[in-house]
Amino acid sequence: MTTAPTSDLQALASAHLWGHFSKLTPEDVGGTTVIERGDGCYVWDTTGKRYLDGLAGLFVSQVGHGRRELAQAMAAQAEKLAYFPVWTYAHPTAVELATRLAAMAPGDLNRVFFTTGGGEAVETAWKLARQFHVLNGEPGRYKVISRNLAYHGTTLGALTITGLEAIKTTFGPMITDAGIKVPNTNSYRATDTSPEALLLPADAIEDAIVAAGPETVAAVFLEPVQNSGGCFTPPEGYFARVREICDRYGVLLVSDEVICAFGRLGDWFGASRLGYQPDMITMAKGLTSGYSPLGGVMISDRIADVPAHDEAFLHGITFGGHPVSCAVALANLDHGARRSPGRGEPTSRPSAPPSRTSETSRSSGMSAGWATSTASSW
Amino acid sequence: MGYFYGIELVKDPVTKATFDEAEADHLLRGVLTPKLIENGLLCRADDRGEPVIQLSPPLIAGPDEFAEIARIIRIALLEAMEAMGAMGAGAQP
Repeated sequence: MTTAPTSDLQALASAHLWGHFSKLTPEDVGGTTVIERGDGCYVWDTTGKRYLDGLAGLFVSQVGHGRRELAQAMAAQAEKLAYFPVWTYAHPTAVELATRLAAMAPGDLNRVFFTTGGGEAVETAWKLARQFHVLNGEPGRYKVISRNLAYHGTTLGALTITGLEAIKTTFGPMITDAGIKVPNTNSYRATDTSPEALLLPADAIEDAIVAAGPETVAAVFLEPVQNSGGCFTPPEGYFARVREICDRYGVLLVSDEVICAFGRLGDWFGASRLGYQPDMITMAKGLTSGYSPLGGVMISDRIADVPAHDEAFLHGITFGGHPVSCAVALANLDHGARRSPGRGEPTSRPSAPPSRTSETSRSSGMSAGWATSTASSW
Repeated sequence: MGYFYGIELVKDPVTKATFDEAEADHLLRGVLTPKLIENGLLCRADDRGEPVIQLSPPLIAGPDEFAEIARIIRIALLEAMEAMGAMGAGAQP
C-alpha cells in the first residue's frame, strides 16, 4: 500500500478521524503530525522527519518500535488461531501468559482476568471488588477511593474513579457518590516535609473511609507513582500505611499499574519495586509494548478463593485475552527477561524515593536517576 | 523513578510560584510543544495539574538517547524562558 501525501492525510484526518482528547478544529487536527513507522526509540512522520519517542507512544512501547520477533510472534499466532474467546473456552497462549504473569506478580496474585486495555481493567477490578464484598456478606460496600488528579480511565465507571475534574464535568453525574477523592502525594508542594507530615495523604485515606462509613467502601485505587500531575512518587512508608488502613477497615487495595508495570519503574510490577502487596493489580500498555492491545487484572487468592466463588463473575469482554495479543505479550516478556538481571527481582531499590525539589536541582537529580535506571534497564 | 519522570515548570525555583492558566497554556502549547517537536522529541507537555514535561521513553533507551532528550529539552526551555519574558528562573537548564 502506498501512503498518501502528508497534506492529503492531514486533510482526511481533519474530515474523518476523531482524535482522542482533541477538538475538531483545524488547529487541533488539520496540522496533525502523522506518524508512519518506528524503529527502536525513534519514529518517523510521513514527511520523513525523525523523532525520539520520549513518551513510549503513551507509556506503552517498553521494548521499542519495529521489533521483528514480536511481529513474527503475532503473525504465527494469527495463522494458527487468530481469535477465540476466553469465555467458555481457553486457548494456549492465554493460559501460558496467565501462568507466567502469576509467577511474576508479587505474593498471591495468582489469577488473571484479561481485558483489552487499562480502562476496562479498572472497570473489572471495581466490579470484582463489589462482587467479593457481596459474596462476603457485605453488599453495602460499593464506593471507591482514589487520589486528586489521578487518571484511571475514561469509561463512566473508571471515570468515576479518575480524579481529573476537567475531564468529568461534561459527562456527569458520575456513578453517584461512589467515587471519593483524597489528596495525592505531591511532596514538591508540601509545606511540611517531615516524614510524618508527608504521610498525611495516607492518613487521609483512613479519614475518607471513616467519613464514608467503612461498611460502604469497596476499594482504594492507587498508582505506584501517580502519572497525572507530574509523576508523584510516594513518600517512604506511604504504601505500608495504606495497606494497614485497608486491612483495618476491610477495604481492598488495587494497584493501578497500567503505566507502572513491565519495567517502567525498574521491576516487573510497581508494587514489587515499592515493596507492597496489593489485592489486585490492573495492567495494560507495556504488557505487549503496544504491538497489540491487551490489559488485565491480577487477582489475589484471597479474592478468588472466597468460598462462594463457585458463583460466576458475570463480566466479560469479546477481545479480552485475544490470542494474538497474548502471543505478542509472551514475546515481549521474553525480551524483557533477557535484558533484565534476575527475572522478578528488584533491580535497584533506593532507600527513599527521589525527592521533588526545585526545578534546578531536579534536573541534576534526573540525570542521576537516568544513570541508575540505565544500568537496570531492559 | 525508573523510566518515568515529570519536570514541573515554575516561575521561580525558590518561591515555586506557579503559572496561571493562560500562561501555562501559552508556555506548553504555544512555546514548548512546538519547539520540542521541531527539534525531534515527542513527549508530553501537560497541565492537568501544574505544568509539567513528562518523559517515559522506551526501556531500551540508553545514554545517547538521554543525552539527546536533555539537549532538546534544554533548547526548548531556553526558548520558553525568553518567550515568557524571562520571568522564570525556574527553567534554568
